[in-house]
Amino acid sequence: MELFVSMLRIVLRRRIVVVELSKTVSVPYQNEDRRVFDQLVQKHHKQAYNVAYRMTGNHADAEDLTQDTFLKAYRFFGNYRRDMPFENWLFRIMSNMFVDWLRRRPKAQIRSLDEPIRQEEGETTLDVPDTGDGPEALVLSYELDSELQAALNTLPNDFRIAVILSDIEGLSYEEISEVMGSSIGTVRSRLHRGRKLLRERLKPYLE
Amino acid sequence: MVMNCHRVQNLISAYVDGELPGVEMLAVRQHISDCGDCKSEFESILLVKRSISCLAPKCPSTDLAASICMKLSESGTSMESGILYAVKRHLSGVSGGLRLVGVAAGLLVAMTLVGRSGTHTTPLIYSPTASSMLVRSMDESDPVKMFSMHNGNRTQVFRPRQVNMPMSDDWGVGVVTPVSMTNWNGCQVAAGH
Repeated sequence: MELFVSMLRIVLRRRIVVVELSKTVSVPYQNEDRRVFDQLVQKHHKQAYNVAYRMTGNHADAEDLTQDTFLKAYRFFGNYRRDMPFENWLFRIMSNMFVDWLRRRPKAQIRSLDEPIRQEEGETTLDVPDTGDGPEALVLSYELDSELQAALNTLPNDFRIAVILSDIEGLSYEEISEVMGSSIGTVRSRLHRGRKLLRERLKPYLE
Repeated sequence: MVMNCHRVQNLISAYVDGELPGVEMLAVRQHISDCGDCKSEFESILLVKRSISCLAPKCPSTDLAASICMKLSESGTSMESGILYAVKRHLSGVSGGLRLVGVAAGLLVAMTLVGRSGTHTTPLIYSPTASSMLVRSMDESDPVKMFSMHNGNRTQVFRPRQVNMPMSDDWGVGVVTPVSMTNWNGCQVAAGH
């Protein structure tokens, strides 16, 4: 079905309604906000997937969580007040959906970790933090991805989300508090306790 | 400011994240340089942070973005606030009575309306080959949601609210018929309006 450009003048009682369609399209409807949103999907889906993977620990759940997050974000796009970066707003939605997802899962379920997903040629980049890395950290991350992910998986969800937002996405405490809806003091506590738990889990590898 | 080990160790994560106010930050730094235990604590927490930060990004399957966009279309989800039209409307006041207005030649009439989520999500689709068109959705919050279709004889102007209602002469509802450019011969006000 095609829509055609039209200019139409209609006499309407004592008013003239001029109806002007913007352009020829071959989709059922044209929606400026939808176009904007699709661009946001293109721009942020990889970043969102990475966060979803680190939250859920496996590819299939990460893709589901990513899709569900964007669907919900689209539905509530009208509520996005641009008072925080889009990705932070998206992370807030994703964090809440992740917590719900965790609650719905049977507690006894054990998920096996994926093999690292194939990465496209030339895209193996290490996310290097500003503070500069010792070679230790780089080696650990490169060789122990599965073990690090397994350690993340054991964290209580609030600690896990805080660590991911801070150390993978580089959000400030203030940003994390906005995303998670908690005080900065709570963010600080979650990060500190989360890292101490990770340190315990990773002890065999750190020595 | 002088700090004891207990206090310093509680502040280590915030120190590593650069989130301490200046005075505290300097005090922690001073303590760490003097205290072996706290220095070890600092180094191990820093290593944990950096290890997570250095994790290689996980990449999704290459069609994830397309899949998301397709799901948006399929699900019929639409935004809960803000209804958008592919139509720009201009209203201008007309003094006096009825006026016949010629229509620009060479154009087919087509309009789309997007309904509110949950109830009216199917857009109005115009087909130039169809003999009738179903009006499927309207946004009831928009004050001007009327449109007109010309059936070769006259122009009906109406504000449809429901699907597939029979044509009526009042403003209520109607099934619209398509207009072809070849038989457009101007429009006139529908009877009674």
